[in-house]
Parts: sequence; C-alpha cells; structure tokens
Amino acid sequence: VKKIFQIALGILAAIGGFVDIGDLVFDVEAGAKFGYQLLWVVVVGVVGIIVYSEMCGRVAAVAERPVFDAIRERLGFGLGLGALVSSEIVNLMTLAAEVGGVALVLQLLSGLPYRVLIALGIAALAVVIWVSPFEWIERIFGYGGLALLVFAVAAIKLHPNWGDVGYGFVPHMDTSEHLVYAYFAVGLLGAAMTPYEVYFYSSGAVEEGWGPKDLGINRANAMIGYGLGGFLSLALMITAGALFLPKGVEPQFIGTVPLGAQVPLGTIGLLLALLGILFAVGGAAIDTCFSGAYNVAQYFGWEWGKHRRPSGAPRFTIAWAVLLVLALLVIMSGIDPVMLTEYAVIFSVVALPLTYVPILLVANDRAYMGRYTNGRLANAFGLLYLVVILVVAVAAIPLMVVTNQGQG
Amino acid sequence: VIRLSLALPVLALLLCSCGGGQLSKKELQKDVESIQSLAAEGALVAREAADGSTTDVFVRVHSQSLQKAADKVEQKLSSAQASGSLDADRANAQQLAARVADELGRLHAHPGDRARAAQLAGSLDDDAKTAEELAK
Repeated sequence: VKKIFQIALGILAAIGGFVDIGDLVFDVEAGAKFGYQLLWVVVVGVVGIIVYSEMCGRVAAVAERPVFDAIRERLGFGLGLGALVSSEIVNLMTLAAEVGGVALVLQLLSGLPYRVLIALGIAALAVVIWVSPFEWIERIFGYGGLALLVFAVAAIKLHPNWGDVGYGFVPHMDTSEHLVYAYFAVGLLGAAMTPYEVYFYSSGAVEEGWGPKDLGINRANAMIGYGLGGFLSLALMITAGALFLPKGVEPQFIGTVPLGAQVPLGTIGLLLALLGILFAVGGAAIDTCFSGAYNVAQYFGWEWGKHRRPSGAPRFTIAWAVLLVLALLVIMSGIDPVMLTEYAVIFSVVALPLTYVPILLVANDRAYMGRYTNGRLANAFGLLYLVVILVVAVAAIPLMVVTNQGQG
Repeated sequence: VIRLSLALPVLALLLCSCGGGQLSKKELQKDVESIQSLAAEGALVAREAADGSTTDVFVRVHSQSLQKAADKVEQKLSSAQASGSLDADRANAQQLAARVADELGRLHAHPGDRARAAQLAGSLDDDAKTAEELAK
C-alpha cells in the first residue's frame, strides 16, 4: 500500500509539474494560431519526454549516474564541456523566463510593481530551495500545478467542435503558412521535451536513492505522470483554439492564458488558473535552478545534492545561488519573459541531441546497465526520437529566423 | 560547438531585430492584425469586468499591458513611411491603434466601473471589426 501511495504521489507531482512557461506560451499561441491542428505534436512530444526520461531514470537507478556524469564519460571533457555550456545557457534563459513568469502572475494577483515582484519572487524561491526538503519542493509545486486542471474544465465548457479536436490528433496542415506551422511544431516539441526536466528527474532519482527495485516507479512516473501532464498541454491548446482563434486574439502576454479559464468559468476560473500557473512556473523555476547546479556539479565531480546540508556540498549550493542571481540580472534587464521563453525553447531544441545521444548510448551499454539495458521497444523509440530530435535541432533556428518567431 | 552555440543565437537576434522606416504592405497588415488582436482581447477583458466575473487587479494590470502594446503599434505606425494609398491605410491604422490604446487606458484607470466596462467592451469589439476590415 505504501508503495502504491508513493507511486500515486509521484505521478500527481509529475502531472502538476509537467507544464512550464514554455508549454504555456507555445500551447496557447499554437492553439490561437492554428486551432486544434497541432494537437498531434503534443502527443509526439509527450511520448518523446517519456522515452527520454525513462532512459535517464533507469540509468540513474541502475548505474547511479545522472545525466552529466554520463555525458562527461561518453563525450569526453572537451565535447562534454560544449554540451555543458550549451545546456547552462539554455537553463539560464529558461530560469530567467520562469522567474519573469512568476513575477507577472504575482502582479496579476497583487497589482504590485513588476520589478519589486521579481526581487520578491527570487527571494522566495531561494528560501524555499534553502529550507524545504527535496520531496516537499517536488510535491508542493506539483500539487499546486494541478490547479491547471481548470483548463480541462474550461475546454469542455467552451464547447469546442470535438470532431475538429479529434482530427487534430491526425497530422495535417490546413493552412498556407507552412513555415509558421513548422515553427510551432518545433516549438511544441521543444516545450514538451525540455531537457532541464530530464536533468532534474535523473538527478532526483539519485537523490532519492533509487535502485533497480525502483524501476517500476520510474516507468510509472515517466509514462503516467508525463502522459497525464501532457493532457494539461492539450487542454491549454483546445481552450486557446476554442476561445482565441475565432476572435483573432494572438496571445502576447502571460495574462492572456488565464483568460481562457476566466471566460467560461468566471472569477473562480481566473483565480485557479493564476494559482496553477504560479505553482507550475514557480516549480519549474526551482527545477531549472537545481538542474543548472546539478549539471555543473556532476560534470566537474563536485559533491552535490539537496539531501546534503549546504556545507556538505558548498560548490553545488554556490552554483544554484549564482544561477538565481544571474537570472535576476537577466530578467531585471527588462527583457520580455514571453520572448525569452521562445528563444529558450528553440535553443533547447538545438542543444537536445548533445544530451540525448550519450544517454541513449549508456542505456545500451551492458558494462553500466547489466541486464537493464534498453529492450527492443525502448531502442526502437530511442532511435526514432533520435532522428526526430536531430531533424528539429537542425530546423529550429532557421525556422525561427525565417518566420520572425512565428509572426510570419 | 561552443562557438556555434554562442554565434547562432547572436545571429538570430540580429536578424530578428532588423527593421526599416519604409512600411511594406505586409508589415502594415501585421500591424493591423496586432491592433485587431489587442482590441479583441481588450473586449474580452472589458466584458468580464462588466459582468463582474473577474478581479479589479487583473483588469487593471492586464489592460495596461494591452494598452502599452497598442501604444507601441501606434508609435511604430506614426514614425513609419509609406507611399500612395498605403499611406492612407497607415494613417487609418495609426488612428485606430490610438483609439484602442485610449480605450484600454480607460479600462485600466477604472477597472471596477462595470457600466464603463460594458461600454468599452462594445467599442473595442467595434475596433476589432474595423481592424479586421482594414487588414483585408
């Protein structure tokens, strides 16, 4: 019973923790622009993050190697350093965007000045990271993020054409803006397969002391947690397709997102949406911050982990504190969090192969994994997604430039 | 890899930020679509305010974001140059952007005034329709 309870709690946290600012921006923009046509991409992205995180969780549980430990081993110091620098740049951009998102939502709730809320938000995140145990951070924000389920109710209340919604799961292109469609497809894949989620997941597995006996929890968390988390992405896109597309609204602000729940559900819909976004984006900010510190510490072989006291892992502690300060400086510069999110998602797609390939190799290495190497199904999906990831990595920046970030 | 990962974002940022003073038909259409979007979203916010199914803080903060965006479009259109009939369309679009910004500004200033919000919702809806016609 205790194990089932543990799995259920982990799954709930994964559902609530799936959506971050990248998903919010791309799901709602894609829904407002193309209606339900890109729903199938969310499914492809969710299966991709399941494949990737299941492998990472398994490598962490069996070989006790989190992502950047394996990357340095597989790629060597030089190429591994390239992967680390690329990942840290993307991580910092994502963290800054999430912090900006937290401040914007707090502003929509309180009306206080944006810059004051950035500083307050950073301070609150630092306190939570410093004082809260790992599992509490994961679960509090994950459960809070479940308030985003209000978008599922909103999607139903907006009475979308369910035939069109169903057709959205079949790849098709009913538009003359082919490149913009492709840009949003790449962005949605990138938002669903954000690498920091996998770094965090893999390092968390080591933090929680997973072993081969926990592979069932790993599979359940990855498949059910991320799978149902993807459901929130679908709800966001359906809401945007049903409400914003017919009115010609092109979302440019975080404040546009909760309107999708407010219009069909009133004040309670608005407040649940804002709270859900706050927890989802706040939790993602903490995950991103930890991921950045995990990556550096694992690459250079420092002591790391939230389960250690700060004095037990001083360089790890300094790393996450420095990342928070850098994020503060980036977002205080006045850059628009929504624009920064789009850049972060697109660049994360470009950097994705650098971390995906080493994990795929280690997951197939009997020396590390023994009898827990990839099976045929895992390899079939692993190789299929390798091709997908390579194609979108090559296409991402040209599409962003040619379409002027999806503006056409 | 490091050089490439740093150079590509910089190149992309430079390319994205390129712009000119001479307004093309496509650029004008994009600007008009922006005005339409901002007016339509403003109408949504105003209608919820009129119905009392929102919070004053949300209306105040979000309508200000929309207003600033409308102001930005208006300023861009006022400083841009266009030739022939395109210039007349530019001037119309600029006036429309100014009107939308003004209405959003009034919503921002009086978020709890339901009667005013109902009237602004109607005006912003009309503006969105005008912009839609102008974009054709």
